[in-house]
Amino acid sequence: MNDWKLRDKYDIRLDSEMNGYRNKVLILIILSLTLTLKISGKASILRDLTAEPTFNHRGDLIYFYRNIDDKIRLETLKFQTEESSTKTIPLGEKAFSPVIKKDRKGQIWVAWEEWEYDHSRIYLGRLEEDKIIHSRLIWGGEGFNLSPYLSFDMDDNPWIVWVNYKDSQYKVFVHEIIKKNTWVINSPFVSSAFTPQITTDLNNHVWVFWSGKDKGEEEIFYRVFDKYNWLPLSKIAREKKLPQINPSITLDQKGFIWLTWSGYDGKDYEIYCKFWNGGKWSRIINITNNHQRDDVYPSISVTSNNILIVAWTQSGKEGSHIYIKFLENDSWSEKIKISYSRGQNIFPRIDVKEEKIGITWQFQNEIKAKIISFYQLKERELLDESPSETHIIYNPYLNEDKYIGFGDSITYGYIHYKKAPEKGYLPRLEILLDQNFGDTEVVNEGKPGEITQNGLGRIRSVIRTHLARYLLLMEGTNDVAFKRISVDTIVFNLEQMVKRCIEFGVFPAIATIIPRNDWKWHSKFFRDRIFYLNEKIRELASNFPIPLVDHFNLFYYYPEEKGGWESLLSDYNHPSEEGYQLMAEEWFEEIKNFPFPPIDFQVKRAYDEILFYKELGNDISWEDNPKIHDRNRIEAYIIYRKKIEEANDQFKILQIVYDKLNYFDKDIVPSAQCMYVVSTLRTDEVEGPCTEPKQDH
Amino acid sequence: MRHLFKLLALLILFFSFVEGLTAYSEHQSLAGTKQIHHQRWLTSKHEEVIFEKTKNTYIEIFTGVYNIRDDRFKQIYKGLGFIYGFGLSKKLFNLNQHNFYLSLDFKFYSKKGKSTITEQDTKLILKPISLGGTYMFVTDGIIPFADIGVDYYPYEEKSILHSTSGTVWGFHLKGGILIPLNILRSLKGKIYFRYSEAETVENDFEVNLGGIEYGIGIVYEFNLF
Repeated sequence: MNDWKLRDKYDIRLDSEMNGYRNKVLILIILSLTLTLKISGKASILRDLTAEPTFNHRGDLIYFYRNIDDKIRLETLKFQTEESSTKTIPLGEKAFSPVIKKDRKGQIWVAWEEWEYDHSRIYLGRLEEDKIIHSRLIWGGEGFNLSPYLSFDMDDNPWIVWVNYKDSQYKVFVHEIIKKNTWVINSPFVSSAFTPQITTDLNNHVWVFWSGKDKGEEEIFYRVFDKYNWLPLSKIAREKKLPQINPSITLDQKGFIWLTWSGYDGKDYEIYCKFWNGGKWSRIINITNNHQRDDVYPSISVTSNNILIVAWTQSGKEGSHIYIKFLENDSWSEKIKISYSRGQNIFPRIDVKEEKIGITWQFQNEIKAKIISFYQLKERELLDESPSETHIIYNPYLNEDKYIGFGDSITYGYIHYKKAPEKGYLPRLEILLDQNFGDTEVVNEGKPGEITQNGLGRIRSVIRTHLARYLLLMEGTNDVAFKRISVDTIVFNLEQMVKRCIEFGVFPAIATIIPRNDWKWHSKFFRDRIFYLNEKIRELASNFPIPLVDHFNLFYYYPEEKGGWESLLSDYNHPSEEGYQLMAEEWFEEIKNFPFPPIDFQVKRAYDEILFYKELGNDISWEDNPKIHDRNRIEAYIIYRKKIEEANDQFKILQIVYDKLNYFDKDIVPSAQCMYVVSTLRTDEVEGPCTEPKQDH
Repeated sequence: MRHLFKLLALLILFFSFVEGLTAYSEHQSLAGTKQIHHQRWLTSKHEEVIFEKTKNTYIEIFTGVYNIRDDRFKQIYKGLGFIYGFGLSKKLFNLNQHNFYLSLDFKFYSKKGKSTITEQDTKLILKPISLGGTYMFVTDGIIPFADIGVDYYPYEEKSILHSTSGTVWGFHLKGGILIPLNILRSLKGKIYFRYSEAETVENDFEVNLGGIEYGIGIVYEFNLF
C-alpha cells in the first residue's frame, strides 16, 4: 500500500455539518497548504456537482464543481507536483452541471445548464485562461433542458446532446453547433431518457447513446447520424428485460466505439461493455460478474496505447468504492481499488491523456481526484487485494423484537444539518414499541448522503448483521436531487432492496420521502421527481404488497394552522423534532397492524377420526399474534410446507386458511417428515413473516 | 322413518278416538235400561275385568333419548341423540295376571357430528330392529313390564372423510310401565328404560352401538285374531 504514491490528497470537501462557511476560510487556507481543501456547505448544493475531468494542454487535470457560494469553481490538479489550485469561473448563479470536453486541437469546451423556476437552458462556451469565452445559448426551448454532453466531429465542430423534460416527456435533443441543426432522436420512446452520451467515429458518423424506456425496464438506446440522416433508433439487446443504465462511451485508437453500462443480472448490477468494430457489435463482455455487490456508474476512456480503462462504483458491505479495470492485449485486468475512504464513493468519471489517467468521484460531501499513470495502475494491480466476501451467517430465525431503520440522513437523524440520531424518528419509535410490545430494539441504519444505489449495495450485509425480523425502508431523498439518476432507477433499487429483505426472511415496510424546502422543491423539475417517486413508491408497496407509510402525505397535508409542512422541517431537508415525532407515530400506526407471525405454532401427527374411520395427517395449529392491534385486518393464514430434507427455499404454499386457527394436512406420506411455517395475511393482501419452522412428529 | 312414525301416531289416535266415541255412545244408551249389567261390569269378578282390560295385541309408538356409550362416539357425536320407533306386541299366553308377549320394534336413530380434528360433518344413522319377549304384570292400574331380546342394527356413517354402512347383532334389556289413560280405554302411556349392547369391528375400530335409552310412548291395544 505504501508504494501507492498518489493518495487521496486532493480533496474538495463540502462538509454539511458546518453551517456558515465564513469560519471555514481559515480552514480552507490551511488545508490548501496541505493539499486538502474543506469547504462547508449544504449537501444539496454539493449534489449538483458534475466533476467531469479532462486534461488541459499542460497535462493538468481540471474539473468543475459548484461550490457552496453558488459559484462555479475550476479545480486544477497537477500531476508532477501534486498541487492543486481553485479558481472561480464566472458562469453565474443559475449555472449548473458544467461539462468540459477537449476538442482535437486541445481547446476546452464547456456546456452547462442555467436554471429558472420553470425551465432550464443549455449553454456552451470555451474555456481559455480560466475564463469562459464565446458563451452562447444553445437551447432555450420550453421545459427543463439538462444533462448536456459534448463531442467533436472530424472537423472539430462541436455537437451537443441533452435531455429535454416537458409535459412528462423526456426527449433527447442533438444540436450541431456549426450548422445550427437540432433533432429530437428518441421518439417515440419519450417516457424516460437519462445520461445521454455522444461521440463521433472515424467515418465522421455521430453516435448518441442514452438510457431510455420502451416497455418494462430501462434499456440502452442509440442512434447514428451518417452525415446526412439519422439511422433508425436501435437498442443494445439483452436477453433478460432487466434495467440497463448509465451508458458511457469512448472511441479507441482503431476507431472502435466502446460502450460500457450497468445492467441488472437478476441478482445485482454488473458492468458490461461491447464495441462497434465498424461493421458490427461485439458480443457483450462482462467486466464484473459477482454476487452481492452492485457495480454501477461506469466511465470509460482509452490510453494512447489503445488500452481501455473502465472505472466504476462497487457497493458492498463496507460501503461503495471506486474500482478500475483495464483491457490490455485482449485481456481484462483484475479490478483495482482506487478509493480507500470508508463510505460512499460514487459517480467516477475518467479522462485519459497519453498514459495518464485522471479520475474524479464523489465521496460523501467531497469531490476526490487522482492522476495515475498507467504503469502505476499496473503496479497497483499486483498489490491490490480482492475484497473479502461478505460472510454469510446461516440462521433462519430472525429476532421478532428487532427492527432496522434503513435509509439516509433522515433515518439517521439530522436536525439543522447536524447529527442528532438520538432525536430522530427511530429512538422515538423504539419508545412506542417498548410501551406497546415490550422490550424492542430498533437499529439505526441510516447513512447520511446515501442514495438508493448505495443502499442496495449494503442492505444485504445489514440484514445479515442484525438478524432483525423487520426493516423500515425510507430512501430516495438524495437520489431525486441527482439528475443523472432516473426515478425508474430509484424505484428499481428500492424494489431490489425489498426483494433482498424478503429473500432473507426480513419483513420490509417502505415509506414515501418527505417534501423538502430547498431550491429544488421550488423547481418544477425536481418537485415533479419527488411526486413521481412517491407515486411509484406507493405503487411498489401495493404491488408486492408490503406495508406503506406515507410520510410525504403526512407532512404535505400537515395543517396550515399548525404551521404547515414547512414547520416540520428543521432545515431544507431534515425534519424538526416535531416532524420526527410525527414520523415515529406514523410508523407505529402501521407497525401495530403488521401481519405479525402467529404464535404457539404447533405441528403434530394425529388422526382425524369419525366413528368408523380415521385419517392420518399433521395437525397444524396456531394463535393470533397479540401484537396485532386490529384483528379484523387479518384475512387469512398461509401455510407453507416442505420436505424436511429440502432446502428452505423449497417451501410451497400448502393452504390458505380463513377463519380458523388450525389445519389438518392429510396429504402426507407417513414415513416422510415435513416442515411447516405459517404466515398471517392481511385484508390488504400484505403477507407477514412466517413463524419459525416446525417439523411434524 | 319419522313420517311413518307420525302416521302411526295419527292412526293410533284416530282409532282410539273412534273407539272412545263408540264406548261413550254404548254407555249412554245402556245407562238406564241395563243398570244391572253396568253394575255387574263394575263389580263382577276381578279376573273378568282384567280380561276386558288387556287385549291380545299392542301397537305402540315411542321416542326417547339414546346414549351410545362408546367413548369415540361421544367424542365425535356430542350431545343427546333422539330415537324414534314403533312396535308391535302379540300376546302369546297369560297365566292370570302374568302375560307374555312377543314384541317387534322398529327404530330410527340419526345424529350429526364432527370429525375430531378437521371438524368435517359426519352423520350416523341407525335403524335397529328388536325382537323380544315381553312380560307384563297386568293390573287395573299401572302395568309394569320387562323385555329381553335381540337387536339387529343396520348402521350407516356418512362423511366427506369416509362413508360406510354395515350391520351388527346385539341384545337388549328393557323395563317400564304402561299407564292407563282414563279418557281412552285402549290407549296407554308408556315409560321405558332400555339397555343394549351391539359391538362391531370395522376398519380396526371396535364400536359399541349399544347404550342406554329412555323414553315415552303411546300404546294402543286391540284384539287381533
